[in-house]
Amino acid sequence: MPAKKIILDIQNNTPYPAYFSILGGLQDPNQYNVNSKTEYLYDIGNFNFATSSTFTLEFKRVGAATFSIKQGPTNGSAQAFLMSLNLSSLGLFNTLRLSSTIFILYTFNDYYEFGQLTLN
Amino acid sequence: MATFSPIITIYPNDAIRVTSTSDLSYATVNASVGTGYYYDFKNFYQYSTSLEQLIEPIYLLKFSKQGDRNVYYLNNTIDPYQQSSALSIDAEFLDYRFDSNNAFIPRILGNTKLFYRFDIHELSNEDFLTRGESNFGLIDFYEDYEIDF
Repeated sequence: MPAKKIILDIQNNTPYPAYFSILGGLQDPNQYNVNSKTEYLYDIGNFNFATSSTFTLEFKRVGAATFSIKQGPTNGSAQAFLMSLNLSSLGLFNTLRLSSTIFILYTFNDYYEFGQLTLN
Repeated sequence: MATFSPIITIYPNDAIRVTSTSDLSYATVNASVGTGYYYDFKNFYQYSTSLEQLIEPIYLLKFSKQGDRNVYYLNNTIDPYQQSSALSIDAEFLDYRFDSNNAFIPRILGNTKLFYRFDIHELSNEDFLTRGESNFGLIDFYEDYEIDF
């Protein structure tokens, strides 16, 4: 059992705070958030989650021809929406409240490409 | 119903860049986790020029051998009168390791740099086969691998 070191330099080049997963191995569905150049940001500030029940997110592998659909529950709250989204193996999504009307949902990914987000 | 289109921004130097400062790249180290290599650590060191970054929490997701998942919320703090830019965190009580069944999820602030050093003990599959009283002599490494936080 040789003693060694793992030394990591991490730099967030975006203006937003973010969760990211490191050293989870190739099985980690959240591994694609790091070392990705592409940011996907949705401004969902004008949506009232209290009346929502489900979400639909378009996604595909980068380069694929058509989008697939990921659906999940929102159960009437933004918290449930974010938890459901982060359990969908599409990477970690973050939210940030920039003002009383601007509330953003964002992620970083070069493995998946994201399309329209629909909240019902 | 409301539909939102993504606003796409490209960061030429990666949005969140993780690099290894050893002779192995981060991609190589990450790919080795759980595929023949397991990294046990008893403590780790983090450094940032931002004190706010140092006290950001770290989520540790841990799976037991039964497949149960638990989350430990590692809350960091600093001495408010000591303008220290580094933290050394004792993680022995966590019984945590990089073995692809766990997840180490820090939060990094915007436009911030962070530095981690994990003092690890490396285990490979060969260690289980060539040492101990039997071929599985070191399997007790996993015997207490229960959720205990």
